[in-house]
Amino acid sequence: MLVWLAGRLVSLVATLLAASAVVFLVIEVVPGDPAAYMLGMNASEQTVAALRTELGLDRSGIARYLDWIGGWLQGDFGTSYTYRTPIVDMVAERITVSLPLALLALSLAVALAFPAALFAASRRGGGADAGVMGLTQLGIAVPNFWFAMLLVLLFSIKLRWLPSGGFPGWEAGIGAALTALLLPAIALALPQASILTRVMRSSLIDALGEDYLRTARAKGLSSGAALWGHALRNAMIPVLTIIGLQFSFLLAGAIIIENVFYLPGLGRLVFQAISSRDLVVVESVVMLLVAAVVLVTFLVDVAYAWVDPRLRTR
Amino acid sequence: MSLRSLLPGLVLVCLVLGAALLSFAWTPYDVTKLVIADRLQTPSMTHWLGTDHFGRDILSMLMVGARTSLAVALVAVGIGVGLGVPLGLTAAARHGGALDELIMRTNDLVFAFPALVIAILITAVFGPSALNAIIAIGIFNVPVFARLTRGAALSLWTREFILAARVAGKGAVRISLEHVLPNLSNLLIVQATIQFSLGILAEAGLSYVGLGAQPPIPSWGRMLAESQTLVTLAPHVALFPGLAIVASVLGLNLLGDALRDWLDPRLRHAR
Amino acid sequence: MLAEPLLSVESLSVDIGGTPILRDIGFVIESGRTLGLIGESGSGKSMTALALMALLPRGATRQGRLVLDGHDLAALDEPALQRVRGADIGMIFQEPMTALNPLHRIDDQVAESLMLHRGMSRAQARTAARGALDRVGLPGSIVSGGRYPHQLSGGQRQRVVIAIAIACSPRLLIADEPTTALDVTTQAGILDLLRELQRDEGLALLFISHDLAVVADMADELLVMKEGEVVQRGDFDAVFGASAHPYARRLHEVSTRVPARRQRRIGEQPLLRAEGLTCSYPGGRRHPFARPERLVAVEAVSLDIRPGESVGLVGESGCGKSTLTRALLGLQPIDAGSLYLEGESIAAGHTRATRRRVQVVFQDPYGSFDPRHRVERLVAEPLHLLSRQPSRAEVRQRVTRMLERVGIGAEALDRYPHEFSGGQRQRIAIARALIVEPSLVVLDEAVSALDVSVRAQVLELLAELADEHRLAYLFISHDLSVVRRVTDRLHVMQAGRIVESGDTGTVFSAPRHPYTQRLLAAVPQLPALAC
Repeated sequence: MLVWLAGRLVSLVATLLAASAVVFLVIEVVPGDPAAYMLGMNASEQTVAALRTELGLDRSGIARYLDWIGGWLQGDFGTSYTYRTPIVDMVAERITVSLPLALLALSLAVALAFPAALFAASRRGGGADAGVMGLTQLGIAVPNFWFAMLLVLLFSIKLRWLPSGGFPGWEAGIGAALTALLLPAIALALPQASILTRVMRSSLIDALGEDYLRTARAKGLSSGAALWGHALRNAMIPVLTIIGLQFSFLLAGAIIIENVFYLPGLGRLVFQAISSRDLVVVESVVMLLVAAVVLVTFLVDVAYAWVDPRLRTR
Repeated sequence: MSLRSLLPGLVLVCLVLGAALLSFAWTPYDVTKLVIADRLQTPSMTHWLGTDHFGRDILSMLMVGARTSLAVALVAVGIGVGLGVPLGLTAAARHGGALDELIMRTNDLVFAFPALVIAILITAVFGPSALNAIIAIGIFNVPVFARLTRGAALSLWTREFILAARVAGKGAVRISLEHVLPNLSNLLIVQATIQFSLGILAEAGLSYVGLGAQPPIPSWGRMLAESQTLVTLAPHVALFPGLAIVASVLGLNLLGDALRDWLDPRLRHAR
Repeated sequence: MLAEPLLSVESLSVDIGGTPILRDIGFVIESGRTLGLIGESGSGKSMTALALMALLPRGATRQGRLVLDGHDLAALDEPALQRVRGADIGMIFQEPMTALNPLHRIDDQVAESLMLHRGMSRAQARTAARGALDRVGLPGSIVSGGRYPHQLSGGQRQRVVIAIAIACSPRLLIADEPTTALDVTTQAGILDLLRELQRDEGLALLFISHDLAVVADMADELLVMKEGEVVQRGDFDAVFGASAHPYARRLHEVSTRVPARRQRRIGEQPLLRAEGLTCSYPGGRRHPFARPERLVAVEAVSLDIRPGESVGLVGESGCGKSTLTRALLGLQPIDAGSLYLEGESIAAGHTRATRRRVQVVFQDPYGSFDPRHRVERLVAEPLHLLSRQPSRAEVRQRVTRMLERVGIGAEALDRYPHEFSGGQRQRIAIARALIVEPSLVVLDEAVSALDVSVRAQVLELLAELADEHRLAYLFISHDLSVVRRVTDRLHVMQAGRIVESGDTGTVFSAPRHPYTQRLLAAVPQLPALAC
């Protein structure tokens, strides 16, 4: 098991390195002259040259790449050109919004999907099952940012139960912070929950058809006890993979939805950076997002092995 | 499930497709003309779905926007299939070898980049446009199809009819084309419809944050972005583009479900 | 004076969605006795077992009386039935590989029964489970209770299933094809275990199988089923003797029939010769950067096949016969050794010319054809090997002729494989193998998946074709009784090596290697009839 874990860690690091190379190439190599690109067409030769020196662009690509990686390992993500502040500070501030949002949405989605899938699978083929399938079909089709707008319309403007935007910061207290994240998380959670419900339901139905369920019934277990004690855990395994995959979509969704609620998260940071051509910020944020996805994939693999004894012993 | 999802699915898809195609020949109003005087009218007999903050007819905007959504999603699926399927077939045919490893590792690498992130990368360097949205979504589709194709092809390669073909002297390429690919076609068709509907959602998201089609090309996502500040004044401006997205995605998914049931070999044999 | 029967089934009928599946089934079983239920696929024998347990599929309706120890099971509600299942009636199913939950320890799976019916705590139940596992031949010293199913072999898993079934000391044990998926020697072990349990616990045993020899060995009384009905009941001679139902008689006959062996001219020069063949696979790695270990599947195998000869290759699962087959067919790389076909070396792989001379018929009639191709295209596929490609009309002609020879009419040309039965598909597969007129046909478990009656017909066909076209066969099988009847010479394989070779008759009557002896001893014999 430890060997396998070590192998996966090596794979993790390798993927991160490869991803960093890709990001670096696109941002710093492809545009030709990043300094000129950042300053635009009207900049004078002097300003461009000055920026080039400042960014260290006169050194070779490999040297710059290694410096960048080295910086990351020491917690230095470089300095934003537009704001002149260390990127690591900006990112740290924003991530306290984006990450909890994504995690909250994931928890809500799982909390919704689990009982819904159990319900539908145990009443398979009946009206209740069809109802759940219909609802999830609709849920998948709804763009989360539009749904967010509708939620704001209803809960913030009409009913005034929840804030329509903004984030008070965690210093204002967990309650206030979570309230600000609630509507966005719900908006994100809806399509995710729909997808998860469908996958879990199908996985449960497959598990219910397995031979070991028949053995369980032959022992004298009721169909409910058999579902709960035998089918469920087996059905969770393929669902784990999906959750891992969905996390990357969730993160992307969180970034988009920050726009609806004016949340000071990574999304607003990176989109502003794109319009102001602050390549250094874009580079760092992209790398962070990719690292998050790779890490979650790794965690899912580990969870997989933890749940399924077949993967543990080789 | 089959016919029940086929009919509404077909209706919705035809509606959207029809609107998009029709828009090439005719739209109720010209979407390039800004008529400030008519701004923010609620739905009426003159403007069936009302007007936006520039006085443009929303129905016409939706029709032209349908083109963007469908085109972007379609080409992105095309890229995914065109590159991903051959890669998956090759990886499966050369299973265990260096090429297979390479393809799988590259796949994993691309998977680490959500479509949005790819779009961010591309637009940061090349600027936002519909083309860049297509490329971003398309690139993300490639590993989806590559992984699916490889997995399904691998399980086919151990089947006895493939062994029989090898005993008949056929090579890997010929077998991949004559036996493997046709037996995967059902799976691929269903996945393509799924990716198509996901592509529409992705395009809407990208346009919403300004990374997709730029003005004057209308897109549903951007319509929603522009309507955001007005949602209290004129909710209809935010409502209809959203409904259009829901309708297209829902229709495609229903169609995909019906297709999957219809193509299911177990059900086919029963016919 | 016979005791009151433990189980008495009267007029059992089952419908699924309006279609009758079982019609008016009736039988009795006494404690300590075994009733053997025989039938081919579709006879309804498994349904009968499920009906007894009230575990029929959705939409099934059941009528009739099922009296167990004085209580009519048919009149019980679901909660009462749950108390009966596992406690009064235990059941063992066919597929040991999938019958256990892969995520639970084996002792927990046995303990579950005890916790459910005897109200034990987990600790108590685990101890009792340990006892049950010991009872079925899985002592803690060999298999600890904390193991998971995937760490056990097929035979061991089946023993766990039996442990689960007998944990609460039921009065009746139902075994539905318990050894069909197991090797011959493993099967012998399981059958011995069942006999022992019955003797010690006084169980009534309902033993269901399609294998006549196995059932005849185990059962005191027999019941033959066909298409949902009982056609014959009684002891061995009554069921298969002269006055028995014609279907039952035919079953016995086809299980023992030997295709007429005409004098065949067997050539002198070997057609296929293998010397010291070794093949291996990459296995697991000790650490991520180590080279994968090589697992040797075939080691130093030498054999030869002469023109017109029928050579058998037997061995249990994992012995390497599939790998060897693939190596001979050029589907598997050869690590060491030589391989000659009519004097030409093919160790590095086949050419078009050599492939023409060696063709194959596979085991699975459902998997050996591309489901999307029509029969004509399927049978014509090997024609790819001809140096001159025939025209479409010629292809059609050749295919039609070949199909007719194997007993499939010309209207099959435009049909799809799924429209045919298992036996018909094997015939089509034979047509495909013979269309390029090979000298050697490899029959890889070609009749193993067929029903007994169909099997006999296909073996007849193969014998006729061998005589007509002077074919050599390499007959690979795990079923020794079939191999005995159709081969001239025989090789026995174990753990990648050939342990014994010789004339079939000699090997069977006087096996020399201990493994062969063990193998032959484990084969259940179908007794001859008294008359």
